[in-house]
Amino acid sequence: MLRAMTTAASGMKAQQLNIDAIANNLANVNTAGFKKSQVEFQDLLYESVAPAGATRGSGLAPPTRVEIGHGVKLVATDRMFTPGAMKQTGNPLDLMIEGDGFFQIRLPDGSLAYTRDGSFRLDGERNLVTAAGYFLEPALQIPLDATEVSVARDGTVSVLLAGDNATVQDIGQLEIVRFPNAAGLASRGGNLFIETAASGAPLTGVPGRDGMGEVAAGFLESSNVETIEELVNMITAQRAYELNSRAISVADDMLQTVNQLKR
Amino acid sequence: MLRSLRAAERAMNVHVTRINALANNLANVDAAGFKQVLTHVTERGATVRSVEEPARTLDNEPKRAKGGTAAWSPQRELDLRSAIDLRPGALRETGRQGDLALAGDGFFVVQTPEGERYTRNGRFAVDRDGRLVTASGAAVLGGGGPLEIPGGQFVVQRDGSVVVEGNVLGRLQVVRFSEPSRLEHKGNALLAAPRDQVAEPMPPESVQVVQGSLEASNVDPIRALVDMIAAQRAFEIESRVMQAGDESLEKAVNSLPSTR
Repeated sequence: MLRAMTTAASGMKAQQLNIDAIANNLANVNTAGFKKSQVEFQDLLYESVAPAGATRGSGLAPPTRVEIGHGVKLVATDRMFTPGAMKQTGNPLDLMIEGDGFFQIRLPDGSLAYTRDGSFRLDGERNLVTAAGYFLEPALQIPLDATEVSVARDGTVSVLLAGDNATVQDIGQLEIVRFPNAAGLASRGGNLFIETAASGAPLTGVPGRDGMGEVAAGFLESSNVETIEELVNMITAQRAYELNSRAISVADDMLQTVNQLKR
Repeated sequence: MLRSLRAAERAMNVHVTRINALANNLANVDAAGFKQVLTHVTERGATVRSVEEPARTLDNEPKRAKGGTAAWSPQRELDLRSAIDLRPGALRETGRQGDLALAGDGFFVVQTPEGERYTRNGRFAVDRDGRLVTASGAAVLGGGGPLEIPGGQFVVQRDGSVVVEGNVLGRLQVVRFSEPSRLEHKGNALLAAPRDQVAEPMPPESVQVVQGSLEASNVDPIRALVDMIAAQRAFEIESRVMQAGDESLEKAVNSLPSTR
């Protein structure tokens, strides 16, 4: 019985972690560029037991063995890099990658982070920065006399210079990166991901070539969380949690029965 | 009396083992591709084993066997039978390109340090070296070894062929067994085949791989709960038997007048 209790406890703990992941997804249902997580469960080791009661009687077959598992464990929380819906904002600095790829962001400590959240803006010196103020990599600065900025599908950034002869000038090229295994990226928070051993090294490229997605200016990528799916998952997680708690109370009742055998 | 105590003890142990197995099924009610273990309690050798005669009669003379049946005690031995339930679970659509489900028969083949293992859990991913791996990092085998998938996007066709940008890179190995009920759980959603079971590759036309879906656990929680309640009540009944045996022993030891 004690084993049934620890087995069922592992089930309850797993469902608790499941609910945590679901709750985080639901909390980020409106976060631009957010990628939902899903948990993956697998069973634990098995032991082959002959129930202690099944003895070898004279002329009877040897006892059959039963495989008893030890419960379940959380094996992975996968980030699902399925695309989110396009949300039109009309802001020329709001960029969305249609297809594969991440924007590169230079963090204050010099390291690189990656994001699908393309809500860029200008800082005091007219550098292109994220909402948190981190620089886009490679860095881009909009000239003071530019009246309009536009980003093409292939990532070329051009500005309309003020003056009697309004001219359009290319001032830079956006670079985006892809990973061999994007699901292996670690989350840093702030809509940023960082490279890990599991994700592999980033491959830099230009939007629209080598499998990179194209840039859509004036759009933001919505969160890819689907509320109905998350709610259904939450219901199944709660019921699984209850089932396992039932197993614990049955095991507890049986232990109580044993305790009361000898008064 | 002692015999009834021992019989009750053995029966209680059988019920406890059954509860442990059921608890494992319930814990894995959400694990993709999990195959539940069905258990049921049977009686072994429920035949009259011997005709029981008292060793001496009341006059204290050795009794001659007269060929009549006096008291008989059937030797009732409980046995717990278990079998892996290979019925398919429901298919759940996830939209993830690495999630594969088998809509028909068969198992995916996975390479582990302990040898080849088989699974219905198709939650695969491409690792940093481009190999198709399970959630625990074990390589998924195609016809000629681990499958290598360069780049990000890949399509898995119904017969298990992996296609990248129009080129067929290989075919997932999907196997079947003559006696699949003898497969053993090894944890991590993997099953092992006993030595005499040969994994037979399934012909491409009978393979049905569905990309973007996962097979859910086939645990039937209602059945598991009902079995659990039945096992608990049977356990309680056996505990009553044990109590009755204990009380009789107590009477015999403490209350009978002493013999001369």
